[in-house]
Amino acid sequence: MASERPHWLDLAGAARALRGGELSSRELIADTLAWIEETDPGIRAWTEVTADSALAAAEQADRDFAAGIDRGPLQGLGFGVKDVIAVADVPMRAGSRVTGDFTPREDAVVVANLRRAGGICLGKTVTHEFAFGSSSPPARNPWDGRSVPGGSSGGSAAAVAAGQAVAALGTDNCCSVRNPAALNGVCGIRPTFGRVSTTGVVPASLGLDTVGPICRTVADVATLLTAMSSFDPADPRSSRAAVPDFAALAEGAESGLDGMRVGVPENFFFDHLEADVARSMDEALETLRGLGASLHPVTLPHAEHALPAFFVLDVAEEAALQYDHLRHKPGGLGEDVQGWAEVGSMILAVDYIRANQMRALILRDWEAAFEEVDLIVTPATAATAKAPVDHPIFIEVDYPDGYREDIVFAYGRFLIPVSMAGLPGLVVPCGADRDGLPIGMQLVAPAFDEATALRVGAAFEATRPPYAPPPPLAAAA
Amino acid sequence: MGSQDSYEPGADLPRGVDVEAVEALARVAKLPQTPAQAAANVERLNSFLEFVDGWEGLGLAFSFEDGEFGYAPSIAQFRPEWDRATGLNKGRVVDSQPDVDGV
Repeated sequence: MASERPHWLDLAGAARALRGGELSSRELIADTLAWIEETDPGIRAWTEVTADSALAAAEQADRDFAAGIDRGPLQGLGFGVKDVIAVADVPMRAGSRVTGDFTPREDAVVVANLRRAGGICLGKTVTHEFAFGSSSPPARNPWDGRSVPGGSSGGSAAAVAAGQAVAALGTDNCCSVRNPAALNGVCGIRPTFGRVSTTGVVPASLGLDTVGPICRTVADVATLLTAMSSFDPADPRSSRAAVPDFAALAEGAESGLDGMRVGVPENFFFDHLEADVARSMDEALETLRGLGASLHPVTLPHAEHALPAFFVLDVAEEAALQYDHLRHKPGGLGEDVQGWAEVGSMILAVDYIRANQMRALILRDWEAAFEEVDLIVTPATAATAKAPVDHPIFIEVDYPDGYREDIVFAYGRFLIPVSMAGLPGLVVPCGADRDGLPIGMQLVAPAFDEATALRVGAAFEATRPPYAPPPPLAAAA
Repeated sequence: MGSQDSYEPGADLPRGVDVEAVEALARVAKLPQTPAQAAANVERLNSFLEFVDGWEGLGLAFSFEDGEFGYAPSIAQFRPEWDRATGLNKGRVVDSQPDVDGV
């Protein structure tokens, strides 16, 4: 069976096997690389696979294990890196033609942190151009091989869901870790703004960018987040907040959620849902209640303004970053990024500033809600992965209540209010639609309290069956 | 579009752009633009302007009433580093890595 091959082990299981001598790092990495070679023609999640350096690092990890050297919790384990995050000596195109053959000389700080914890870089994963979109061509969703994997970290989420990596890095300025995690049935967290260094990361938005891990279990997300996080004096956005051991804090899921106060928004966040998403969320809330959590209604009055304010900010900042490309490389950018950046060039400064004022009102709403509850639960997306990869933009979604919207809004509507407030949001799978496409739930915590989201996510995850490979891949074994 | 001759204080003036306005904005922004791009940008920009018109009455701008004045702050005033954010660490974390300056 496919799921018995080593590359399907989760990070915790693979680490135990390596440390127990049941598996060598070379065996694990070689099996993973073989699976990528076998399956990626259909999934197209990778832009570069650094097989030679990964195997060499695996052999070094085995020598270290044999010598009793412990380099950290990721020793001997492979990870993928979204192609807007620098990996030394590996081409970084950011999904665009305008970057040419750019190859960074140094690792991004977050990649260096993972290597320091013993991790092995497997290569670069597909991103939507400049992390500015939610379809991530040409990557495909492994759950049906036809739909988009979301984005902009679509390659990272597809690779993890497909068993091509036990973990991968994404970036999230709008929703780009969380919507691909939801659409691919895996876990991903947007950390608090400033928690993880963005040095060496191609920015999409100067005031919103974060880097987050995508894995198949909550515990693995916690392990990655601990290893990734650090204060970076070179990053003006970096926080000095202490980095906890998130994996240790996420433990204790078996003891339930007694005393946990979970907020359920009364406005905005449960409006206009596909029927299967609504059903899965109802079931998820009942599960949380069954674990001992108490559910409390909360209101976030400015949430409806988050998406318009986000677009005003994001397109203007993208226009500033693409200033030279717009003027001197006509036709270089893709149609959608070019169009957004052009409009961003015409946003009035007064509206940009008003959008930043709106961010403050949105943050105040969340802060007020967190005076009453420990955590707030929302759907991750309003719809599942409906957009076909060959025509992923300008698709509309119809809801049972008669509401209709562009698929881009369906994938970001509930995630953007969290990004605008700079708060952490964890996505965990909570069901599937009638076509077997995954559905995700978002757990939002106060700033720098990722541990609470991870603990609740782990407890919820423990009530569900373990991760099973997408049927098309299980059948291909 | 409103003009100086038709302006009335307090009037709810229409907000929007046409191709001519977008071409003028593109010149201000030094943005090369084909006629097809200009037409597409009219639609995109008008949708954005419709968005921000929904922010009337939310207290973003100054108000001076009943002995108090008010305005919405900018998100930038909540930095650096979210020190004033609710729940900063909440005393529930353990230090597994050295803290840089004791925060």
